[in-house]
Amino acid sequence: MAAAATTTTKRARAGGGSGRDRLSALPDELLRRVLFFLPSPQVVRTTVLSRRWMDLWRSVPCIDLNILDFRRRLEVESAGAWEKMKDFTDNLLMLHRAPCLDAFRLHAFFAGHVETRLIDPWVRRAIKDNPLVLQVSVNFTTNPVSFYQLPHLGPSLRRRLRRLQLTGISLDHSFAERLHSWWPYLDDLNLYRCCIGFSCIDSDKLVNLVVTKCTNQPADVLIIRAPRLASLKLDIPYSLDAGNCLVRASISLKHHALSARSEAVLLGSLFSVASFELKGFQTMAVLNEEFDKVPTFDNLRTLSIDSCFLDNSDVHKFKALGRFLQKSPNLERLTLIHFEAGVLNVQAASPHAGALLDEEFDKVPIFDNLRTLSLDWCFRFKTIGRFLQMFPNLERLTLKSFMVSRFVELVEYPKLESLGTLFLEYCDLHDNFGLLRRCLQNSPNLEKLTVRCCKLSDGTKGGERNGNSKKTYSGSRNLARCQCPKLKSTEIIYYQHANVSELVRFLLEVAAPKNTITFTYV
Amino acid sequence: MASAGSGDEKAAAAAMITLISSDNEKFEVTEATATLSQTIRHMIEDGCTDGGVPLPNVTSKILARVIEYCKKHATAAAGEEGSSSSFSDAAFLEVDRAFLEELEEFDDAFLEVDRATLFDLILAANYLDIKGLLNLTCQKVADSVKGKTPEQIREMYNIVNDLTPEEEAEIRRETQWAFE
Repeated sequence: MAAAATTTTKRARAGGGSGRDRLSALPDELLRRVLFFLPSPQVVRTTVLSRRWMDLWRSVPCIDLNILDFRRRLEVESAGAWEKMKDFTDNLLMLHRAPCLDAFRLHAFFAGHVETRLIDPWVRRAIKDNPLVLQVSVNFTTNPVSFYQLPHLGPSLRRRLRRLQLTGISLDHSFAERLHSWWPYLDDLNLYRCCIGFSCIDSDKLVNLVVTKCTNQPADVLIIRAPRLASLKLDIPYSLDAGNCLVRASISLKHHALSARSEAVLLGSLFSVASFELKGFQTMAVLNEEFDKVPTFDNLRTLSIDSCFLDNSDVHKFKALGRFLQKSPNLERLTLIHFEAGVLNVQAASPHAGALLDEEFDKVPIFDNLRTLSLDWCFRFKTIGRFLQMFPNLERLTLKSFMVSRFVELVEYPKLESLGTLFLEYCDLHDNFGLLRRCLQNSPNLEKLTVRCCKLSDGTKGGERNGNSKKTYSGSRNLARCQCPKLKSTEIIYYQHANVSELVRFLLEVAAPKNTITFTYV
Repeated sequence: MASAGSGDEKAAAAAMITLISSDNEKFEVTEATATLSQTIRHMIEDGCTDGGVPLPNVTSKILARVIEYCKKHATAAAGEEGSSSSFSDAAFLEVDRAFLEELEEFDDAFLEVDRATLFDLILAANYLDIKGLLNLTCQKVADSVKGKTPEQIREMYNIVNDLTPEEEAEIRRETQWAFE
């Protein structure tokens, strides 16, 4: 950032000519707002700046204690840091006098169990101070992973807590009860690497819920009832009773942890979402008859499907995808990650994606609302041409880690009249630019092209893998010349050894009079 | 810059608000943009925006910047399809990332201002009660002093140390636990 790089003298001049102290001139309330964003040790040290600052630190509405702020630079062992943190915190909590605390953040590392009880008073204090935001993160360097047990917290009192973020904490059944009685206004709950000893979350206020990398012990599924929930991110099995407010969901399941039918029911409970990320769902969840009963995802605009439908059969895989898309009539953005087709049965999978869908529909189904498509880690997507036919109004196409050589048939690649942006990243362009040429030939209105860190022949790392890496580009053997009259900018981002000149030679043959090529080296 | 909202559609003309800076410059903005300011929101609710909203504490230079911020963030809020908690600005989905990155880039570029402007923006954000802008600008100041010693902070912001050496020594003694 340019401003941060200027010298002190420049700053003084910029600060009002005669070196006015604009910072100290701010009213107390705003100075406290600035100090709110600093770690507590630094906040306290502002006490010596001037008379104006002497007592400000005591009333800053935030306490931010992080073991990393007590560590000496490059210090590996944290024992000394822990002593310093303890001394500091005991003093701070004794002298800090904010009338009202907005945030309490505590971040600690432990090598063993014993010391963890020492932070109990801090946690008690954190809850007693009644903050709006409470973050407690306790990490153990032990193996197996341990958890910090919250101290006994006394009788219940209604608190104003709005956001709670816990990491590395063991939460028993009383936690679920507390959510209800203690924190009636809590609308944002984030549990990370916690041990979940309760079986349900029941809240009328909860708007955001994130539960990730937790272990859940008592129940197979976490029961969630949250009528006002808007965002949900989970990677454990659950049953959900949410209202129509749910707009964003990210659900990640372990493969086959649930039955196909249960997965279908889960999907159904998320019918109202506008953004949806799903990971680990099985093919049969979508092909299950239970999924037929699921209401249409009418609100769904953005969908990401990651590592789902890992069926050996391409037929089922595409059928599942087709079925899901049929249920999402208003979808605008689709991302497929690790959607591999034709991997196991390259020979047998000769029918194309479109053809597979033909069984259900008379012709290739058309999803004309889809504007953005991204394919990431879709190795050997054999039938990209037929696949793209389903999205005639595509405006943005991104191909990442997309392997083309040998396996991909570029036949039936459709004309994409609306395509304005094409982004290729980590793609394999060993095929004499066949993929790129196909894309350009069929995108008459392309305006922006980015080729990022793609594998080019000769000198590239990827080159060794391929037997015929010596093959170089020769323009004369080309098919029809590509016409991209609207192409304005081409960005080439490349690795050190990439043979960019070949790519440039290819691009210069494209009829694109307005094109500017920029190079970035990474 | 005087007609910051002139590009907006005619259809929205009914919901346009005129803001008047301290130097009497008029800015037309949509209600959606204006109501990012709680101060203006309350004025609209009380029905006292006819004939424009005078903002005697904000110069046209700063007001133009504030409107730029509000326009961008009002569009962003509209894209959120409502219903999200005002408290949570943390959209966590990968699919929303591109959108968030764009907003972050905007904020970063927006903050590339000289220090005097930054302080003017803080005061304007406070006066207009625009929570997002106030946090953004205050955090920018906090980031600039993060990891700096008191001496460095004094030099950076021209803070005159009016404590006598004895006083300073005593304060340091009392808060020794924070200086180790």
